Amino acid sequence: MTIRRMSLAAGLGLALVAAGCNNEDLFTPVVPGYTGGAMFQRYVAMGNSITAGVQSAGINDSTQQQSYVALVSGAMATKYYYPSLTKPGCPPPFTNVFTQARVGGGTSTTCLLRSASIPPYLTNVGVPGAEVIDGINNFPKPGTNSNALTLLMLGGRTQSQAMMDAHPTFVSVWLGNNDLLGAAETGDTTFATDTASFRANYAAVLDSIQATGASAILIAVGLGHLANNVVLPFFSRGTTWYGLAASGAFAPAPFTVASNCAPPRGDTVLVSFAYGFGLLATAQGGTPTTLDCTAPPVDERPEVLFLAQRQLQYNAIIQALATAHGWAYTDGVNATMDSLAGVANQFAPFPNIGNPSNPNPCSASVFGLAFSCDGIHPSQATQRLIARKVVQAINQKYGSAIPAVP
Amino acid sequence: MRRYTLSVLCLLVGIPALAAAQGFGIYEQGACAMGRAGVGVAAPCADGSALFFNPAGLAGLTGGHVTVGATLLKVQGGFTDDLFQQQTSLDDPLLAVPQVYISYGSTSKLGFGVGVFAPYGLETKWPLTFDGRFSGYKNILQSLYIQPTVAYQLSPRLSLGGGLDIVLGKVELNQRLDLAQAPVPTTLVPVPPGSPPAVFGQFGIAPGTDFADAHLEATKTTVAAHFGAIFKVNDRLSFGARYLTQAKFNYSGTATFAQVPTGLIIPAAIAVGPLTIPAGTPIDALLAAPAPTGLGLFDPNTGVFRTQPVTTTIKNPALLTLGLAYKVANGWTLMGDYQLTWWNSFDQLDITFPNDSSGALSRKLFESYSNTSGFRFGAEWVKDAMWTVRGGYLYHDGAAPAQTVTPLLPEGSRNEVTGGVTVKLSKVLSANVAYQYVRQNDRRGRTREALFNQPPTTGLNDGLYTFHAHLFGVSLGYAF
Repeated sequence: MTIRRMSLAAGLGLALVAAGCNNEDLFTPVVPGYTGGAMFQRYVAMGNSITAGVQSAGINDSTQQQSYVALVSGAMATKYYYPSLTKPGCPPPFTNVFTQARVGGGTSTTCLLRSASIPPYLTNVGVPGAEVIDGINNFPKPGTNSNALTLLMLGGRTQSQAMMDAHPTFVSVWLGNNDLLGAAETGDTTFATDTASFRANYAAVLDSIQATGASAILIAVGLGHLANNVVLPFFSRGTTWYGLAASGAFAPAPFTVASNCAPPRGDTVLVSFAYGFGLLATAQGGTPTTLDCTAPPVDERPEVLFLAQRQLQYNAIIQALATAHGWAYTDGVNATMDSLAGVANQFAPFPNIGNPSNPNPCSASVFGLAFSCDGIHPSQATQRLIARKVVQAINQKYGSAIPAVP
Repeated sequence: MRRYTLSVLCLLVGIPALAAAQGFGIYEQGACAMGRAGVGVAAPCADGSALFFNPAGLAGLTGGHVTVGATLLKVQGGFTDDLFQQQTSLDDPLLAVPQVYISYGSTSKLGFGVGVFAPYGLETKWPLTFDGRFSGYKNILQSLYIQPTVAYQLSPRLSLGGGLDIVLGKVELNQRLDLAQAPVPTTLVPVPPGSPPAVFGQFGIAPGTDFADAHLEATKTTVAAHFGAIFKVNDRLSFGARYLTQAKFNYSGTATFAQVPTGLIIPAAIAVGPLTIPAGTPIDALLAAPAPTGLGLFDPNTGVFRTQPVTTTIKNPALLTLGLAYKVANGWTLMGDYQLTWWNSFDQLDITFPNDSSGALSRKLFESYSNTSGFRFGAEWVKDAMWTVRGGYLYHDGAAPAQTVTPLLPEGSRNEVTGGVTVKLSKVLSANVAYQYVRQNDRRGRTREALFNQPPTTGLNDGLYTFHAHLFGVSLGYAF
């Protein structure tokens, strides 16, 4: 064999080996480049309607993308996989809360399926209506609040199960608002979750997070401190109702506001939008109706004090649990809402109905700029503020440098 | 009795997992040839394995030869997903692949024999925790070739051989069904004509929710042919060629289904079309219960998932090998083979359920394999009358295109090195041992099929398949 032939054979052999060693690569998820980014490769949010992205008493793909979770995920540079609800929604958000008109002409019972594009896992496992117990249980466990969205969003899993399926590296928990809201809406404090159950259920939720090895941030209950006299615009004070009635704002409807709603007593009484405007609608239908500030579902001073104290108790429990786990805790959202409450046009003291015969649409921010068109759920702008507070709290606790939410 | 005999043969000639040739080809059909990287179409081993490597090699053999051998395969590999970087290992056990060759040279020119071998087949086993279980967690293709062969030396330079292959084929597919991807009956959720049906995932069912286990099994016997030629230029240089024709199997078998509990419970009452499902209803009961309270999917007479016929067609590709052998000096022989396999015949796998009027079961697997080339190089040194030592290297490219690397057969380009030795134990007995290391390039692939029989794209690839294997060959030859 000549040297030339040997060289040719060797060259051919090397070429084959080179061709044969062309490995392809695993697509390793990109670790966010900021300080501490590895902790946030898979961020999962547990929670209720605020977390899920409800606005104006409805939810669809658009509102889901406006949730603080989407914004925090964006800042973290991590995937945001949510159970996309086909428009107009389930139910569709209000376009006019006074006429009950909803997006796409839907009603409160309209509910479309999820999008056909199913994400591999969920990073937003929040479900509207969830209390703390719903973090770890579904129906038929007594005390749970499962609803159609529990099925559509989680498919029969609990929030904890869905969270664990995502193999999270970081989890946020914002549960507990609904443990109080039912009591506030009904004026019946027995609907509030007792602190022992709250603590046990919350601890169980945190145990499920601990099992994944993820770190977490726990967000305090509330959208403002009730103890600081900050109230959701869904509730109006008895005094306000009394004053408006006295000024003839509800005329010519045969609608009366009892004198027990007058100041100073009426200052400490809360009347829900659903209740007050339900009575008003009855009156506008021609039936003489009176708003009485002494009976449920109105929240009188003892109920309001109870709710304010219970909120503080819940948050003390959450803070203690966060400390025990070494995780972040933030009451910053409440502080922000406390501040916003003092800013003009953010919290409407009374829904801005405008002309009763042609009431204002939701685009008029009838509950104030901070809230969507149900007086309970944050507006898109407030979701952004919440996201900023969450990111700040995370960075403060963990020394990370998640970029600010724009 | 005949059926029993065939079953025993099938057991004997087991199927290696992800064997060491392209696609689902298997080339390790004898320890002697294995030791030199399977090369030798121009100079087959004298142990009767010429029945597989070149039928013309039977011509010129003297006397009779019986060779019984086995190849042991230890396969290691798995899949790592992009999403969670979790690794799943293949579940394949240590496999033994026996071979039997019987040949007889009745004259110095005429030889004949019969071989039993399995040049095509695969078995891939994955754990049930693997996401690929929804494509197939235990997939078996078996092709047992029984080849009576005759060869004749037309001249001192040219020998020809040919055989008729009776090919016993078997296919078995086992897969889990994912409720998230299962179509919702259009009686419950109507869709516009031409639109795909809604899937249970749109009701929130999470991907990876097993609700049924499907077992498809079919057998078929077909025929193929095998031709070979050897041309000796002189005492040192010879050329060889062989051609194995395509074997086409029109399989017809049975599909059986078993319900797999999801354990999920409907958490709130929900109305779906005419069906109102109360809160607390187990999803398993909903799927199984007959109408009007359930979907009756597993009803043995009317359910979509009743036991029923299934058909499919699989083609073992045609194979052409060209090669040369050159006796250098001092007992050394150098050999090289080029192998072309027409894998483009493995284009589309239509798994059809003729009795399923819903059309929900039929699957169309787009394989789109490409023809492949293999290059084999071997060297052999006859040290003395007792010892022969050999070694080799081979490379071949992958048949599966980038969008078809699946749990069924995550194959790709491979480099393989081999070594082996023959020892003459007595006048009539000889033994062969061989070792082969297979290293397949790491290859991106997918775990799931596209929904609703859509052609796949590389966009579905969700991780990396790795594979390597250690093969050990042994054989014992008896000359009479």
